[in-house]
Amino acid sequence: MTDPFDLEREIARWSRSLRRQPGIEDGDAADLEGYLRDKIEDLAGQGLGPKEAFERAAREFTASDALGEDYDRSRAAARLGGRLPGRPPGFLPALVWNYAKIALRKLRRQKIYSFINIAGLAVGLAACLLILLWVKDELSYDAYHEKADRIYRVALSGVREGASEGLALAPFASAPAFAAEIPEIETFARLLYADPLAVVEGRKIDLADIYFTDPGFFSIFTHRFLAGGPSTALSLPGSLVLTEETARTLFGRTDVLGRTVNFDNEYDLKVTAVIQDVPGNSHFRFKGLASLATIATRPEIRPYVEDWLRLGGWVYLLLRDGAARGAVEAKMAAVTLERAGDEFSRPGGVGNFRLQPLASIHLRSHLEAEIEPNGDIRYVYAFSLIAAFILVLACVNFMNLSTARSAGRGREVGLRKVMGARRGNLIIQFLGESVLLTAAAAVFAVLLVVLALPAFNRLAGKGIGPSSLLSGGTPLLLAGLILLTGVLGGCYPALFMSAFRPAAVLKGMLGRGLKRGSFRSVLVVFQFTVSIVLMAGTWIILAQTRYMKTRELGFDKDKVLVVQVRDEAARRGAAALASDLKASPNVRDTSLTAGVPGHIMTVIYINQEGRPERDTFPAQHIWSDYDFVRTYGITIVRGRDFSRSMASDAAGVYLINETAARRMGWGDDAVGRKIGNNLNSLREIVGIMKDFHTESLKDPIAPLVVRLATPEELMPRAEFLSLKLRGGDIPATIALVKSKWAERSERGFEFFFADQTFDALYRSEERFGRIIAAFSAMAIFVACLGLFGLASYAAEQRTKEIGIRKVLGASETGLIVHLSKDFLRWVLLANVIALPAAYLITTRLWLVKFATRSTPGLPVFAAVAGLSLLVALLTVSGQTVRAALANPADSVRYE
Amino acid sequence: MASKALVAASTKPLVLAILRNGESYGYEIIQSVRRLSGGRLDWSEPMLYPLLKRMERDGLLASRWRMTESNRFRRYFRLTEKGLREQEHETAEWSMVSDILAKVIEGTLAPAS
Repeated sequence: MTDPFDLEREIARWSRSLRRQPGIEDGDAADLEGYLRDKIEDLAGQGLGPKEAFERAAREFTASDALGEDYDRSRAAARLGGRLPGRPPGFLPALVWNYAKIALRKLRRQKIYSFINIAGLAVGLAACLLILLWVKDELSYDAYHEKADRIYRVALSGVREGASEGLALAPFASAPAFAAEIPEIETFARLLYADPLAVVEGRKIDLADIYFTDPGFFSIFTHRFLAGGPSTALSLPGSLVLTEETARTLFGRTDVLGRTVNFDNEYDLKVTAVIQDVPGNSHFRFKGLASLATIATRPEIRPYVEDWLRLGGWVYLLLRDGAARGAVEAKMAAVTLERAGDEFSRPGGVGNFRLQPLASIHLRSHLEAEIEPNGDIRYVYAFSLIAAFILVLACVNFMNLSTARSAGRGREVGLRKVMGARRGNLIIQFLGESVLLTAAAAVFAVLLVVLALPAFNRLAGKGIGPSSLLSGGTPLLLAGLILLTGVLGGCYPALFMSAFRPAAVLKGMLGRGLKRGSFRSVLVVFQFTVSIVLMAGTWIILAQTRYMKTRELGFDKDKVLVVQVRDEAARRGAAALASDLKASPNVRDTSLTAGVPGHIMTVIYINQEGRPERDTFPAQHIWSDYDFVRTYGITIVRGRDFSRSMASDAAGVYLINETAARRMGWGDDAVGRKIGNNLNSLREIVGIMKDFHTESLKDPIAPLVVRLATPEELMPRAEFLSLKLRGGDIPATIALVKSKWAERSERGFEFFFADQTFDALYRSEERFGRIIAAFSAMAIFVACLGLFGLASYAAEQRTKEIGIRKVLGASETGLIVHLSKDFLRWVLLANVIALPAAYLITTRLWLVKFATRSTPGLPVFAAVAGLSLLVALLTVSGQTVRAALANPADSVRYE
Repeated sequence: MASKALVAASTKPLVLAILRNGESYGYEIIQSVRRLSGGRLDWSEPMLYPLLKRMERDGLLASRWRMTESNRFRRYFRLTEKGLREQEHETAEWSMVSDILAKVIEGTLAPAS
């Protein structure tokens, strides 16, 4: 028996199955049913029975697979680029809107945790961004020069014995010689520093950071011209190129082409170009350039230009495309030997020429006489590492809190799994959640950075604008950072939670490990370890800086006012001023010298009596009057000070320091022996000074000789008038000196105190320490946020336990101790790991570069440990105290 | 059988051309194409239906339901103003291609001059 074929029933069934296909809506189905009927009617008209007609029509319909897809596509143009409404784009998981909804719901429900998460991430990201901006700025130095990869600085290696790696200066005479004989050298520029007194339209303005240089300067370096052009700017003697800022200082405007500026009341220069101010990321920031030819023939300059053994300043070369640095250096050695004999290359000679690539100068060159203080690649590494650590700390918070809260999400995971979610779906959901959270945090982070930039710039001595957040790949970097942080922070919770077994979690059985949280303790220990290392490191760095600043230098640096003496007229004025001030009750001693501690520019090669001419060593050299030792409170350990009563002194004698005496091989017997800067002019050593620091405490004490100069010798050389004040009203004394100075000199009154000089030497260390301090504060903040979150979570989890303990008679104090104990144990463990690490890192990597250093002692580490425990205790105490004080009736009521 | 690419490209102009002769419905359009092409173009309903809907949404076609002889509703399509213009445009383009093709083939077959 067969069922009679019912066409309508079959069509209805067909239509139902059609409606089940994805992408087919009711209206479509009705239309398609119409087609089917048309076809059946047609086939029936051709003589087929209803059954055959239906089957054939239906077959032809289903023969075309991917029916649904066609419908999807048919809606394409008008709607979401080929998607059904409500369905996310193909690259996102199908349930993405649901994920987002759940994530937002969680954010709203768990305000404290969301705050901790987002705030921690935001601070972490902000710290990271600040450091990245700083690193980017450091790495960008001098890169703006179009020919940067072909520009080299000529340096001398092995100039000074001891710590120094070499000298950034080179003899001016060498540059044209090299350029003439070495075809790889395209052009050169020599830079001679000047701080002239500019006279413009009768007004006198002190300038600094002006360089006399060669016409090749603008072929080498790239600068933007506001007026004039690179080829003509320095081609003639008497040319002057001003930066915008200097043009404004001198003239009050920038359209000053062709105007005249007089330097030092001696010669006129004509403004041939005005250029934009030198960018901040330049290893030297000049204020103006003048053609070297203007002064090259002047008698006091000429030897510096012509003599191979005089170091005029800095020399830059532009090599041709494809020139090999090593080959050029070899040729330079050959040219040097030919032009200057073996003065340079012989053992104990001046040293060998080498080329420093422009790009490496700012971060990797630490020679003597750098044109300006450089950065340090180690700081770049250190800060990058710190940035990475802070980011990891923020990620750890996220991991900790998400796994801690995971208990609450067990049901969600279970339900999703029951509804068919695979583990991959859940991992994607949780990772997406953490990336979303990170992105939200990033918005705050950017805001924080913009707010903190001015303060950070002051701290770091930079001029980074907020616009640098948008330039040069920073947005890309930020996006990468968000993704990295999101995935890093989210991967553990994602893997962890997606592994829940639905049967177990839906029944309410969560793994014991989940609540015990041993992994979380490891993370907290890690966070505090990093924070404590940073804290201890900061402490040690600042302690070393303070140590250097307060350490006895071996002379009395207090209340020594040093007036700078810049030119001939000023020197005459200074000599007169000195005798004027001797009468003043507030000034105890005065001394006119070339060179003072902290500012010794001259190094000479010492010849000793009884030694061959070639057997010399370099020593710092000060030309002085009779009163240097008295003014600076220096101790004489052997022999005597210069004395006006010794007629023989007047012809010129030496005081040397202990290091110099040792270097000469004479030791205490040096007194009475003769030295000089050549064998024909040896002078007697009358005394040995106790060693004192004349340079940064980073460097060992160098040999020093002080030469008593005749007035004729001193006059052209004197640079500083040092005044030892008696105390009392120092501002009044300064005012007095200033008014007297004004009578004597038309140069501005520039002065400093001797102790300031030394403070300035440690500025880079101090800055490093302060930046590290700021970032370790951020790291500690982030770590504390995490601890706070965990503490409040633990307190919440243990509400009932606490209630029962209280009912059974536990005291509140006892409970607080009980609750805090866990956390403090972790922090203590972190201390045990961190302190030795901090000790090793700072002593091995940082303190070693200081010749004189403070050894971090036990008190430092005890203080850091105590501080970290205190901070941790304060962080958790709010939560534990609240939990301990809660009324047990509330917490155990329901059981 | 025509190639898939050709079918894809020619469906729309053919539908436009057929509807230029007056109102029609899906199944009839398929039949017309089959008849006119001598069976070489064989469209399926699932292919045509989405196309008609898309063209309607793009404003080239308008549709209405009409009662059939067997008391059933069937959707009839006709050209709109825009569809008419589009049809003329499409036809012109196809003739151009066809002309060029013809010329090229003539050219290659003719002896080189």
